Amino acid sequence: MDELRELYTDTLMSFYLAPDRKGKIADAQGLEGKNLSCGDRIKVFLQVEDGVIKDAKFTGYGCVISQSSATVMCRMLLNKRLDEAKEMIDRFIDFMQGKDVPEELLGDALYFEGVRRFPSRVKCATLAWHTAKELIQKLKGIQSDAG
Amino acid sequence: MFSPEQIRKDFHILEEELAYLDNAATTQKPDNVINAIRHYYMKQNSNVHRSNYELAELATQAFESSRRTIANFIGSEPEELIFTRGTTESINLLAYSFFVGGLIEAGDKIAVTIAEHHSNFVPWQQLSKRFGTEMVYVDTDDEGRISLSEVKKALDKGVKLLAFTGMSNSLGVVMPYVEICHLAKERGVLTVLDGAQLVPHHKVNVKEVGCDFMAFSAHKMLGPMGIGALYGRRELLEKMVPFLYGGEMIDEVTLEDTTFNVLPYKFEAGTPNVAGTVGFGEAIRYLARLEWGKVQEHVKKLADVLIHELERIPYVEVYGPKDETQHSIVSFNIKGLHPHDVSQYLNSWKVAVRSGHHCAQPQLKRIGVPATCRASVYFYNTERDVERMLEAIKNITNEFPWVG
Repeated sequence: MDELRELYTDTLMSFYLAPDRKGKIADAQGLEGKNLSCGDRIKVFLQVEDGVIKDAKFTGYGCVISQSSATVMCRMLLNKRLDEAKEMIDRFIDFMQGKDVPEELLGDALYFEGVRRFPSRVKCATLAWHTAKELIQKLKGIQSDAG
Repeated sequence: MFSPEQIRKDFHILEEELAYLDNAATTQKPDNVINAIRHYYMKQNSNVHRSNYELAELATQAFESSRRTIANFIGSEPEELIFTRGTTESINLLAYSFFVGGLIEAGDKIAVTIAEHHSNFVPWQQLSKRFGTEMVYVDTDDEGRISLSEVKKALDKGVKLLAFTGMSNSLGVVMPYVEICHLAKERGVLTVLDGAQLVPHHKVNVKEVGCDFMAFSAHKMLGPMGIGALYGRRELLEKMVPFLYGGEMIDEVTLEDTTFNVLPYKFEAGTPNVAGTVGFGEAIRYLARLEWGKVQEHVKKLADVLIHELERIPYVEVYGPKDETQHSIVSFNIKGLHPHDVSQYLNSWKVAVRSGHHCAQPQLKRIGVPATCRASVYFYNTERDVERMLEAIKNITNEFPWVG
């Protein structure tokens, strides 16, 4: 049971129960990501103005880990420049894959530390982040085309 | 006398404190199967059907003896039993060979049910995408049952082949497979029976059932992974082209052409997984010694307890027919909680269940859920296993207070 508590911390549960970044953003670019092993889908929406993320939300269905992680990610993406956002996402994915990342750079993403001990759940925690990364790459492409 | 407590002693892995309820994914292996594989490598290993020294004879004998045992178990001739890597490969073999050999052509209709595991769905669907065959889908009802009238409706659209499962892996529905084969036969429709879940739980005699083909896997019935079989009616197998080309499957090779070996070797190119077949044969010998009436009764009873006790818990939703047609497999969800969280929680109680879409997305979509938890029982499970899982589910609100 203690092991379960390492995964399902009160903080994660509170993120899950108060998904304040859940919903669509009208007129914003969205991208769907899937977890092939469980069939979960998530859609991330990013509204970008002048290379800065002005709004970030998600829709979809998933477990406590994937949903709380999506909430935290969307909060953290707000007001980040696209390149900063990409860096932040890469850092989180590295962290979840067990690489050493300075804790002070992780912010609220550090709450997912416990998930690293459950390899089968790492992909739940990173689903939204992988999806957002792909979306950011698309958006950057659009920007540079426009520029 | 059938005693699960006694039987558990044959399974080393079951000594661990774990309620293993993921038998639809794979079963545990009794010591005799593990020992047979070890014995093969220690005392009999050499390549089969090639050399005439004594060791090679021993390996060939072990290989062919397993084939006879398995064939006998399902009521087929040994020549009609082809070793494959498992159900998935068996069905891919059929899809490929039918099309390449012209038994199925562009424009032909192929019927599958929406209760299928992806392995009996995707090969046929891809055939239609790439080669212009046409898919006809047989719907299930809200509980995952297939009605004979739905089957008739599909067959009467002029289909050439019907591929269907004998027992669905997501909801545990035992289909009326004998009647379905009969309906198909009356209309001259070829039948492919997916026996992956059925054969571990029901004695299937292919001649009595009347299917043209049946695919099944060793690892879901006490045998090792990576080995399985395809049964095919002899006259059909004779007409079919090989799936894989190479050694063993040839009769004569010249620069101009190649003629093929007789059945079943025509479909067994390359060095086979001999140790796998030895383990498979030993698993079947183990199963053949059991009192099947008692085994089925025991499995049915445990699954029924799970279904009925889970149904009494207000925050649990149980899927499937919940009647005599449901066997071994219990699919359910906890309201307000994702199945992954439920199976993770159950793990902390030392209960192993699967969560996800169970490689049966069309069926889950049909019943309106993206994923479920699935507990699946085999004959070595006991009341204790079931009680442990129920106890855990009853306490789930302690960890996830919002449930319910």
